[in-house]
Amino acid sequence: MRSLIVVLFLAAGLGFLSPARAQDAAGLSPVRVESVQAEFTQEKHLPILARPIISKGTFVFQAPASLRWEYLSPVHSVLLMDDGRTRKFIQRNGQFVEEQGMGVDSMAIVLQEITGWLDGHISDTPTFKAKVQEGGLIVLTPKESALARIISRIELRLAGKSGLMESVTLYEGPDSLTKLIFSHGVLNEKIPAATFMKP
Amino acid sequence: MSIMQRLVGEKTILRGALKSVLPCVFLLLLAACSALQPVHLPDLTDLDAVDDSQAGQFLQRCRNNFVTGNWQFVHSIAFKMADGGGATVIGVTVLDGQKLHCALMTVEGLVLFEAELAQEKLAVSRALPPFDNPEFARGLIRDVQAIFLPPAGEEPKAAGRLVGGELVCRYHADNGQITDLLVDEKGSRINIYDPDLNRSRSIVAGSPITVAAERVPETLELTASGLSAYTLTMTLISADKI
Repeated sequence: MRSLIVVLFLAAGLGFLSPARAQDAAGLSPVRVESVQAEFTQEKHLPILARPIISKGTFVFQAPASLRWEYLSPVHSVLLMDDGRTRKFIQRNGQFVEEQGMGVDSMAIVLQEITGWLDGHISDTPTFKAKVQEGGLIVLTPKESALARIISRIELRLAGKSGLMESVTLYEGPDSLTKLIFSHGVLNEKIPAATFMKP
Repeated sequence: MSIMQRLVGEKTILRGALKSVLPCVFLLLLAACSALQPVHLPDLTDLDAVDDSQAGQFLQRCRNNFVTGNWQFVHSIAFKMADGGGATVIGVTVLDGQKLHCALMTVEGLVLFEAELAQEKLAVSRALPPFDNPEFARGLIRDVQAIFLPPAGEEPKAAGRLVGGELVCRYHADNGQITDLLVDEKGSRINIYDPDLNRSRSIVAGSPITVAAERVPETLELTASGLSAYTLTMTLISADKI
């Protein structure tokens, strides 16, 4: 479960956090990321699904280690990482309830991954091998076989020279994938500290 | 105040406290015992002459409680254990002729479990911890079948009334399991009894909506009884006839 969560949120985090370093890896001028905010639409494709499941949400990151990853629909949930603590909340009957288990404790590891990446290059990710391709595409493949059984690869697509990511696609199997498409991205704006403290 | 006086005083306070706490403890124990107490299959009274004329209509209502054809359902599922633990996941159920597919994923979209049931043969294609226990797979499929498919035998063997006067369709499976189905305008209730005639599952379906001319509940609550009791609270995200 720990590796699952790592993959999931690393992928999600990379969507916003990696552009600066991704551009660096691609030979473009790097942008120092202090904060990132964006909206996202997530498409979940499975062979058994006649049409994908669509989720929508927002993402906020503040360097060095604060994160708010919020799904607004179909299930309103908030993942908060702040001051080394990771918490997950689910809205039930109009109120947020903190959920334990399901790898929530392990999410602290994710934060380490993300922040570690911010301080280095994309090729230095301890978990993934990165390959920069033409057209602003970066393909990440897991270094460990245990992880490869869960996730075969991640594709990151850069949004031109804006310093933001256009999309992240996480492949679990040949026809099973999760695609995150980002919009309304804003870099390096001041974010209130309370954003990362409560749902 | 002497040590003796203090001890006597503390003893009195302790006795008083115990007096007020003990009834509460007793009530809690009683409540816990009654929660574990099995619920037995209730007796059915035969339908009277007036009911007989409506029996056909009622049996049809029971049949209509289950969708027909190929469907795709997506639910949010809040799983709650008796000890208070639990989690929320997204569940996908696809009814495809003789096949039943189901998948569980995190709210973030990562697939934790995926399986297919065809001609009573279960094939698990993905099962990540903590969903990699074979017993979990069998239990999950049993719950999915109970929620979405007509009980084994398909046709109710009897319709009758409970003591409270509620109309019920009763299904008998070959393995001795008995299923009672109660349907009204607000939803339906399914009670499943094991061969010992103790209730093992109850499913309450509410807020029915019409999709492709069929009745689909927006809310479902499955309660599994026994020592490893749990509750699944399911909220419909989408229902599509495919």
